[in-house]
Amino acid sequence: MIEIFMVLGFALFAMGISGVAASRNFIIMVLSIEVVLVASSLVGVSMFSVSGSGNIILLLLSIWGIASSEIIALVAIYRYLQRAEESMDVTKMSKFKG
Amino acid sequence: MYEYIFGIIAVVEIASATGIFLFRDVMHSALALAIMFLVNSAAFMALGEPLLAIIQLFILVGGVATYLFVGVASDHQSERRHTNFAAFSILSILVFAFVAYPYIGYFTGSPSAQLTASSISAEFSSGYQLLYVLVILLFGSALGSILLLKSAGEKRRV
Repeated sequence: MIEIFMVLGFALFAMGISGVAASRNFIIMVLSIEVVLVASSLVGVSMFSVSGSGNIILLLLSIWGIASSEIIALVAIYRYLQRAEESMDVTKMSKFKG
Repeated sequence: MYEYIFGIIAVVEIASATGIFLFRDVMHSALALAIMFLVNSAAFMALGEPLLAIIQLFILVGGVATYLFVGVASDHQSERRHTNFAAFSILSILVFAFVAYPYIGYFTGSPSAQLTASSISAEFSSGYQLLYVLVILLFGSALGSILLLKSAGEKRRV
């Protein structure tokens, strides 16, 4: 029955990737990447519990680190956009042009 | 009994992940993400990894989701529509088929897929230095972006 978690991980991964592609809100795009990270951790732990070898904590530590960094960067960019009175719609963003 | 618990966890996790894209208010989307983190740690518990589940609960639910609520979602932004649902559904099905196709052999129990599971674990244990460097670089970029924004705000104030 562990296979159900691998299928769940693949489904979450697909939803996260599709969310990045189909969404226009900057915040929702970052939340979609969080979904991708959670899905990859779920698939990793499922595979670890099947195979029983390797060290899964290293993968999970890196996933948690990436997720935390992403949210820190999201809050910083959000505050900047809010101060500049910019929309969160990525198709209308103009402040990030070089 | 365990089949029902696994099924409930899968259904709730898929529902909360869908809620991220369905809700218009970002606050509700962030709440759905926090529920997804919570259910994911329950899935870790069901897989027999209680320590990882508790650490995940502390970091993602206690840290990341709370920071997201305080920093972004408490402003109650409700934009009209942020996700194209038709494109989202079609893309989800296509990506799922593309990703899950190589593992169909695994689900049916063929020996080549068991080789995949063990080889992936070996990859993780051998290349962990690269992952550490990646995480440190990401933390550095996140902190650097905060410092840059702070200096930009001070210049604007002057």
